Amino acid sequence: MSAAATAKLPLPARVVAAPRDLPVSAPIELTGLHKRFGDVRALDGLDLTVRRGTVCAILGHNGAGKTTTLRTLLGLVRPDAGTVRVLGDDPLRDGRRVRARVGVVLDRDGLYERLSAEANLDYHARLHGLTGRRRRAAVEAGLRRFGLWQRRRERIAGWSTGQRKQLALARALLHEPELLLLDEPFAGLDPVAATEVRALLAGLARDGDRTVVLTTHDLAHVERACDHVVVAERGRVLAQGSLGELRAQADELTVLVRGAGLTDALLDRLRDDGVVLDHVRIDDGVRVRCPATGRPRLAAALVGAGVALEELRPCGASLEDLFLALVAGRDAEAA
Amino acid sequence: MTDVVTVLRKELAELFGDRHSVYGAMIQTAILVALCGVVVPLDRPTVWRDAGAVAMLYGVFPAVLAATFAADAFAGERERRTLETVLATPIAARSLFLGKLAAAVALALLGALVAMTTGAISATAAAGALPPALTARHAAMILLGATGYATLTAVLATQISMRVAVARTAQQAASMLSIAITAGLALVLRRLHVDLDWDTLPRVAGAMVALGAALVVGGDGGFRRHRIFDPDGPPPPPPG
Repeated sequence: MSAAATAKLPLPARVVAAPRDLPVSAPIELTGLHKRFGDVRALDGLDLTVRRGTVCAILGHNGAGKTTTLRTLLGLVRPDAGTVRVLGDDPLRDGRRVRARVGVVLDRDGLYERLSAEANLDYHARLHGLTGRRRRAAVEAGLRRFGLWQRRRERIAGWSTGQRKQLALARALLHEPELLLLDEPFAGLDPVAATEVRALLAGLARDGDRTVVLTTHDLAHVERACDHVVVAERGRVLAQGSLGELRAQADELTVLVRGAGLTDALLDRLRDDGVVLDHVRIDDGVRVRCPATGRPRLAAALVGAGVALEELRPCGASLEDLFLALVAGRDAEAA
Repeated sequence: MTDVVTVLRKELAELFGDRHSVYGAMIQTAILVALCGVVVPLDRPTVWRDAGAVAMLYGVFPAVLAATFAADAFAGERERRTLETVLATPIAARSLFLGKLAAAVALALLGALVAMTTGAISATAAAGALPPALTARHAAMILLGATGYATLTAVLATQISMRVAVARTAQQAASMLSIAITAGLALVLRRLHVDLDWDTLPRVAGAMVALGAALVVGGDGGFRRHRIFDPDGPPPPPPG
């Protein structure tokens, strides 16, 4: 999709489906968050509510505000405006209580390369107030859970990204947190390790009634691992809902069109007018991607251009299609 | 208090657990010991009569070690991307600060102790008898002075470390600061017409310990977590 075509797209409606049936105390409630770093607007009125016991993915490009959101949840960044409630508390005012109930894997992995795997876990177990036999048991259980017990005395410098990520996850789970915050948990993992981590996260949410919030820009993992998805861009939430809800929205965006007079020239013109994002010819029809609210406009435009429409129907778009359409609309809005 | 000890242990384990760090620390300690513990006492065993010179040898030089170590405290962790994860735990930022500070002061004391012991042995070997000023009281005074000086420089170096993004920059600033404090102290003592001798040394050492403690307490604003991680001004974290 060309930049020129993108720039002319109409503004998409913000597809924000608020989660239903919220318990009284959702683990995360963010309202109207704003944060600037100099000239950079990291959060721009971000609203987010996450249900207990879900695996929630915050999806977005670099600069979408994902990491800043996680840092705000931990009280590491003070928002310029807006309210933050994590497990019922304000992380800036009641930070100690919040952080005692939250497990994190942030940024890289935060492991000390000069220490052994066991010493890394032991240090964090102590910082979380675990003592004596309980601490030693938690460290051993964490190492065994990820098959790292035999390597516990090794210094972790030189470990692979996947092994380090597993150790970081073990560290995050030491104190059995109610809420897990994971920044890019699948980055650097091989397919086997990624599958194991996905299963672990699903198990934590299902059996332990824990809430997992992860950031990623990997859509494949989101579709397999998460039951709630938030699409963020430039510090705002563009869409959120269950996977089913978002897939339904995505279906609305990609259509199969058949009819006489459906030329490439016409579709290019519609793209310039912002009615179409892009199109691909398949068999005797055309697969067309529209902006978020574009399908009725597309039908009207085609009929208006003299196309004898035989068929125009949703054709099973992916989450990626929805993501790209939403982001393209936001780019146009910014332009 | 438990958290302070936890951080202290981890800092020292990191220092002594890493081959490169151990080599670095050993080289600095070896230079310190060779100079203050061997060369000077062998050349001039009577140096032990001069309280000012002894304080400089076994108090000031080890404190420079402490300042270099303390400068890495936060800036180094920020650079190695471990600081954020620690700040995401329930530990009080002040405990984190005190643990790192205690590790730096402990390192200085260890350096002072090794240098002083070696110095006494060297002076004894050169003069054929124990240095005349080396009594338990004098040794305690020297260590008190080293503690005061190390606390003062380490507090300031740690404060610098909280505000600077790169460890090397923090270490350079801390080294300059150590020199400035030494020069400033000499100037103040001169202005006050105080000659460092075995009577005035305990008072000067005590004043430095008090000043260091006051800096710890007075620097409370810098301990706020979001300021350590996200100080107003540089370095802004990459948005994302």
